[in-house]
Amino acid sequence: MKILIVDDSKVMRSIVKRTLRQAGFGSHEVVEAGNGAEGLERVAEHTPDLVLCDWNMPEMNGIEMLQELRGAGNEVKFGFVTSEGTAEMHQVAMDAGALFLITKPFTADDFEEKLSPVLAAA
Amino acid sequence: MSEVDPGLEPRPWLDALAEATAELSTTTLELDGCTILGPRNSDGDLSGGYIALIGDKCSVQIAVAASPETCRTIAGRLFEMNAEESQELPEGDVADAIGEVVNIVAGGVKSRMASYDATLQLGLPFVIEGVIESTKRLRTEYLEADLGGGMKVVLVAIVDTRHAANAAA
Repeated sequence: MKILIVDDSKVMRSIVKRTLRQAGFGSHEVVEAGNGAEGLERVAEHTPDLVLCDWNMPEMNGIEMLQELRGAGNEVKFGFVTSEGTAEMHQVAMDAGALFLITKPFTADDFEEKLSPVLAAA
Repeated sequence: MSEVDPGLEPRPWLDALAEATAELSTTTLELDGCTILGPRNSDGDLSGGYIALIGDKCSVQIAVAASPETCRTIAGRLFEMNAEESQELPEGDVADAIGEVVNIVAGGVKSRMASYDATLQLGLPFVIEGVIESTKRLRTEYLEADLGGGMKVVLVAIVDTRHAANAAA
């Protein structure tokens, strides 16, 4: 399986990779992108099974990336990993087609809980 | 909510920042927990990650600052490097890490302060050398904390008192 991590912070991409490993998903291939526009390119190139995406990013943010994907008919499994997790953001994410929203700081248990059903169904 | 007005006083923000930093210590940094050491001054050779929280009732900057060596150690921990390797990290990676640290804790501060101002919005993090001082308009407080493993940081809360005054007018 292939997981695309989209975050403008190199260190956060590293933390997400570490947490994936700790949550038992270390055998999956990981692809990275630094913003939503790059993320769209990586989706086209690599056809990931799951996208883990930050919300606030330069050039194209996470919700714009998700809307772009769904507008183009791409139904890749998509979840947000963000520093804010208000009820309003959660609703916007779900309405746009996201499966979950993980709020920073997160633990390996958080990843296991949210990702296990998604990756099991992939 | 206490009698202290968060639109005018840094203390409630500093308390929320201390709680969010303790959470960061045990999760993202995988340390045993954060110890609050007490108030301190702005003196010393410090670099800090800053981020704005702005809402209808208040305008605040919060920061996590530390010595350049400690900033590198924190960054190295996040990049899974040992202490020696972390001292070789490029400046850009250190700034990225410190910016992300303050970004994460700011989310925690926002949720903890939502009962005071539900309209709070986070800005983008930035990193500067030194710390922002108090002025007539900006009210600032500092708190020293040990993130764990001897990594001492200075937590900073800066309240723009004019914003609250304008909001109340």
